[in-house]
Amino acid sequence: MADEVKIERNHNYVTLSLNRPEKRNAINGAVIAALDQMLESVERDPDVRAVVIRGEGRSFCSGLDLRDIEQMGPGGLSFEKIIARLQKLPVPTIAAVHGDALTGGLVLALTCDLRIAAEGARLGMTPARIGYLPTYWIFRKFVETVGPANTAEIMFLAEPVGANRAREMGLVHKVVPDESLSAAAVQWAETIAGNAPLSVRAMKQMIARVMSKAFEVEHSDLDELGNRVRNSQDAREGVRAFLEKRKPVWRGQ
Amino acid sequence: MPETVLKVERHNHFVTLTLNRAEKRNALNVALMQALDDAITSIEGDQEIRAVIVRGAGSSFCSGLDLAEADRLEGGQGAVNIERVFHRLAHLPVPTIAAVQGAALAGGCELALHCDLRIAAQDLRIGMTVARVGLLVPYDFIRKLIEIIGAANTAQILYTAEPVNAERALRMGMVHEVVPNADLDATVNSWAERISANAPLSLRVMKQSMRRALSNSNNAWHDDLLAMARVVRNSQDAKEGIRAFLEKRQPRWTGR
Repeated sequence: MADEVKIERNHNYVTLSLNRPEKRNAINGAVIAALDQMLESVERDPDVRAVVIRGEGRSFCSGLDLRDIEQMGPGGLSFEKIIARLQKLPVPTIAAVHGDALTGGLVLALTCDLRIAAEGARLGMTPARIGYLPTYWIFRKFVETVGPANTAEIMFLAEPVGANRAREMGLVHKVVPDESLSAAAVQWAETIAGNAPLSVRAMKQMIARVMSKAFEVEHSDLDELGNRVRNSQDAREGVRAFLEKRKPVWRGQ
Repeated sequence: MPETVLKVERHNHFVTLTLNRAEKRNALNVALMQALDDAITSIEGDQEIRAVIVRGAGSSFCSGLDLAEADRLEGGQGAVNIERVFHRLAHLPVPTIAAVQGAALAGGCELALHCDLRIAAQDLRIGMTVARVGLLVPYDFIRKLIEIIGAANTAQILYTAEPVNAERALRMGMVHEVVPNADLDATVNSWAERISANAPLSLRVMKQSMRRALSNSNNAWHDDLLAMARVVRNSQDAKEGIRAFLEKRQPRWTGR
């Protein structure tokens, strides 16, 4: 297997680099499989104290590889599985975001505990442009992180925002010059890894527990509704129009 | 009726609702709330609508409840009481955008907050001034404030009862963008057009999902707080506060 994701072990933290720069690190089946394996190895290693996720080339991650996803069928369940695994990772995770962090790419970053953005970063959720719908879980995550008002801006407009607007929304913690991004992420990873590991692991659990209630709200009806949107004619039209680089024609069906 | 209190304009895929009592800084009275309620009903039934703009004619967005008719609009009784109508506004199936300029005070501030998005003109003064007149914000409205700007900012807005300017509102997350007054309409129209260019089914389910994600906090038991609110609203201080406001003098609080 080609190195779709590179893993690098530094002293007591790990750096995972998405490595499909020619595709702006779009997430395909191979990336999902590689991430799954690497997260498992991090889970088993009590000496790892932090994880940095970054992207090779000019972008963090442009989202899911739409051609691949069309073949994987609706739902994108494997991506969800990876995201759930990342969310539950016992140690702090830091996303170092530059260039594009769109849709699945932004979800990946948002699932990390901390986010540092390069000045030139563009972050956004574009599914409404193609008639798709993020899962309920993703909404929960956005509302939790940036609140409902900012979530509305991100989702309804479906336009990426720049790093500074993202900072205002609380979507990222810090904005640094493009050339300082790696250094900034390393510095946070080292600082965190320098703190008491038991404290940090327990703190991560505490935060997750405080937020857990909202995850238990009944939403199977919305999942069903979501599947209907994902399987709608508009969704097919949206993907087709995107791939054909033309404007979609919505019919509301 | 000489002139309609709420103008409803249908654009291609969105609707603009304009509060049209400019001479009263668009204060919410029974007629206006009734018109708003009717407009919400017609929007709910129209599958072609993809976004709604709420704006105010004249120099202000909305100065709040028309205190002359406040008793018929607040407290959960009248057919067009503000809590019910704003609840319906917040639950409209499509994205809503408030274009706010000049004063957006008390009920006017809440009207904007019950929209999904807010664009502000530079001269905006937005706030909850009810503590000045001894009134109380309904529980639902306090929850709304916390939902949008968090508990710390809500404390400032409620306790100081002082309006904040557009820049401060932007930093609090109360508005999404601040533009020169002359650009407000164009900006808000552009947001509505950009949103309605997106997939309508996605938008509708997105909105439902967000409401659901927030629903747990909406269900917190608060009957005791409703009872407390009734006490405050019926207090002598509340009457004194309104009287003093109408008479443009300082109120004398007795704590009763």
